[in-house]
Amino acid sequence: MGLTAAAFVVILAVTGLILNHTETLKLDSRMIKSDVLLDWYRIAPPENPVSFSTGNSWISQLGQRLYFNGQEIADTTGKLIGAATLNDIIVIAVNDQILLTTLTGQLIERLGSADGVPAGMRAITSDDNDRLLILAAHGTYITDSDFIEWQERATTSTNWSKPSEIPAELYRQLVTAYRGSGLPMERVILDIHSGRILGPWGVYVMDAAAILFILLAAAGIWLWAKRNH
Amino acid sequence: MRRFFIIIILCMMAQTAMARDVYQQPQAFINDVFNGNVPKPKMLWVTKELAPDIKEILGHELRVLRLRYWQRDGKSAWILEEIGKEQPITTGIVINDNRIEQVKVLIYRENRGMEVRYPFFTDQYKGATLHKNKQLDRNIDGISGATLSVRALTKLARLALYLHNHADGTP
Repeated sequence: MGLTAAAFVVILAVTGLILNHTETLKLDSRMIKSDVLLDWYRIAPPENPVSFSTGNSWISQLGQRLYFNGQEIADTTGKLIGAATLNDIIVIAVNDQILLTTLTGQLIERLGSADGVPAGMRAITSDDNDRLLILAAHGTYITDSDFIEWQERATTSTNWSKPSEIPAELYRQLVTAYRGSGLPMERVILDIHSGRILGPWGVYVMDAAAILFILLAAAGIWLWAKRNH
Repeated sequence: MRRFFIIIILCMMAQTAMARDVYQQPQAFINDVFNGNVPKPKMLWVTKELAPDIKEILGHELRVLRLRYWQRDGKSAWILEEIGKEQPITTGIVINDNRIEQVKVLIYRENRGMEVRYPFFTDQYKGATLHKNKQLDRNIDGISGATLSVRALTKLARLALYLHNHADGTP
């Protein structure tokens, strides 16, 4: 029984010490990679990825994360609408934003409404002069090479960027990347500290241990007071 | 009664899920700054010279290679984002004559700490300049329960002043 109590004391003390220095240790940004723990927490992508080929690369969205091939490049809110290559830039349309990356997936710039990105984007493509065409809720727009001037124009283009199925190996890479950034170390240590890692019964066991320690302390104080009188 | 509680719980869940307050669209902010006569945006590339200083200010690397800004007559306007606790805070910052003229929270996505959007807090930045050590020339009083949001806005204020000093056309 003493050994059991000692084990609980050590677990609580060690995890408590670690949690006291969460920021210094950057526990909220260190991610768990262990498949055992990831499976225990059921960390899995919510749905199949949506992917667009740019010719030499794949732009995919899994959950709220955007990937260049198998590497995460940005957090996003909203739906991945399309991707296209213009000269030496990859253009990615997500919800109400345009992301520009290099051909190796390095993020150059994020453009939003303040930069003239039309609302209600539905599809993108490039025209014969390598300029970006956007099919939006209120019309079709074209932009200059600096993405500064946006002009409405009529178009009969049907060559809009369309999603397609990625190779199986890339799918595995995406799932591994997604899972590997879904569980911060802070969460696991908090759950060990509270017992929650073993579910509701783990919490009850930790509660019982805490009550036992309180009783032990009270008993110790009582014995000390009794001895002194 | 059970239906009432279900509706209440659903409303609370929806509130949590939809935590995104848009106080002003970035486009409208820029429009207001320049009184409807918005100049053509300029680009500032994050060069090898700027990158270490930016990392020192933010505590991390800027994830983009260039930033867009609007400038006229010594005044520049920036739309910048920094994560508070978990979500980015979209902020509009105006620099004039190397001093902060305005800091405004445009979009707030967290469930707590939104007190930083009020003028009683953001007015503290008015007139602030940047020391050579890339710190502001003043202390900014924090808000209990909004420490991370305060920290994020202060970083953005410092960043905007720094970027203004390196923007094209700044004397």
